Amino acid sequence: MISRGLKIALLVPAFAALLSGAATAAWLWHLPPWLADVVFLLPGLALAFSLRARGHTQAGDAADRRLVLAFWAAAAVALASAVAHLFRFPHGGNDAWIIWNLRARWLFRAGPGGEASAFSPDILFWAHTDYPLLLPQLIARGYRILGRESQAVSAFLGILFGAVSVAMVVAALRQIDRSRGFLGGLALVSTPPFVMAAADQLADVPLAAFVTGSVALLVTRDRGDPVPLVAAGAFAGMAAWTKNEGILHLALIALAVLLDERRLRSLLLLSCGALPFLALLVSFKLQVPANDLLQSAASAAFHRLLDPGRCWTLLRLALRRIVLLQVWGLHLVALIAFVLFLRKGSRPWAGCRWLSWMPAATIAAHLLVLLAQPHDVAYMFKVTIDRLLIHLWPAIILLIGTRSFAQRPDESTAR
Amino acid sequence: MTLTTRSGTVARHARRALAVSRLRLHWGLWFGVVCTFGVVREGYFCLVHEPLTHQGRASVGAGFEGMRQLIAGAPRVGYLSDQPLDTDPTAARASNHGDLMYATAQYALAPTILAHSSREASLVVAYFNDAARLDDVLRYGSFEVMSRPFPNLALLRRK
Repeated sequence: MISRGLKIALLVPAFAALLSGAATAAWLWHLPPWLADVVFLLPGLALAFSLRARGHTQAGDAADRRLVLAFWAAAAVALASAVAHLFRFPHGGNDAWIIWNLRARWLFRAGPGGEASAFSPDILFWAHTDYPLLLPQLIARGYRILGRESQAVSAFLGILFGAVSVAMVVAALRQIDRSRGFLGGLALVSTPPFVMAAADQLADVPLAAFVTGSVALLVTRDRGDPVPLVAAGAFAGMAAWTKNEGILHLALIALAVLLDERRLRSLLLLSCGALPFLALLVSFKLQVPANDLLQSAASAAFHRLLDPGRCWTLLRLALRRIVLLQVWGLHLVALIAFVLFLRKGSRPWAGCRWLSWMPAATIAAHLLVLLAQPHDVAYMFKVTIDRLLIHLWPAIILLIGTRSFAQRPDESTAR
Repeated sequence: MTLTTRSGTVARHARRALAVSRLRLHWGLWFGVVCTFGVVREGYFCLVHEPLTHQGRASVGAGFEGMRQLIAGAPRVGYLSDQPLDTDPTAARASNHGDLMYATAQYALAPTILAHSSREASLVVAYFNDAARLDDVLRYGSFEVMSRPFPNLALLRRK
């Protein structure tokens, strides 16, 4: 059973996604807006009520209080940094205004009936008109509520999704051990590119929040309770409806659930949750130009995949990224150190053995896509790798935080 | 003999406990170093480095605002620039600056489509890196100027 804190942290992004999904459903499926809201919000409310939560009270000691203090101090610096960056760049980072905020502005300005122009093939393909609409539609809905465009909406959403990602990690890990919750939160708020991505209003942070929500539900659920599985599927579906990369996350989470549970029923429950957002995604993809990466011939992509020069470039860049402290600080070095020296002495959370491999499998798949895509591999690596890692970063911290270490029998028995 | 074994066992356990304790201490220490470095990096970059070295970007495409009134209602207009665009999704990206200029114009003028490859649109947004080259285009006489808020930026009508 999940804690009340985790439930609140999950409900915020879930209802944001449902509000956004309803607006897109009204356009794509020609529904009256009120009916679309009912169709999306009612099942969401039903799922929220059936997701049982309990209060979570664990007394902390003095060391714990120091940790809590460190967490809040780090969170305050992260928030101040993000807000200062937002004031300097209120329209967000380049990708935010070229893709996400452009689409939000377009949907708002075009109004009902004019949405299709936002996906015209006449628009330069770098605006990525095929990207899913969760974030742009949510921002546009914010504009509609305000009655005007405001950079405050996208800025607020960027910070909100960053904050709920942190809240989900803290709340999920606190269910296992109080201090682990704050350690996980501290690790996340002190990750420089995560904070920057939230301040840059990129869709990578909402995607990370949905992936984390799905993983948190899978880790904390009671075996045999179908509701968290449906909710985890819904979160994975929201991830797929946020960015194209989310489709891969959804597929790998579903595969992990199938392998961990060895029951088709679990996979079906997960798929049921993802279904509304997958239906939106399929309807949307059938109406917009195909993704630019899919326009390259398969044989050419295969040749690029096996090109030793590209493979060597990718390997060199990946190793360089780990030790390049300007972007990730020491966090990637710490992750590699964990994988090399500490992982062997620990065990994944019960029933999550395959799920613990999901981030590694996702990174491997992304590296293959980077090799096969038609553009310069060094350029594409530089502009995408941090975001690909950000999608997974809170989930990685969560999965590491739930591992039981051999030296601490008290924790392994706490299960 | 038994006593020796017992004390050896105790010593071994004590050594192991000490090693584990040291490991935990070091683990906590390294974790603290990683997090402190990250927090300092965030704070330094956004609160010290950026204010000193970056102007920021208070607005994107503010220069196009006046044009919005003139093209309001037009579903699509042409786009003309002296900077090339990356228009082939299967080719390597080569014109980052041109793409960024187009994106700026499109962000400002949405929901009017900037049809970069259109030769028929009667209205054309001209956004040049070099204003002298825009003057050259105007000298050919194919366009009349409807608005020119900046030397490198104009809304043109095809004659």
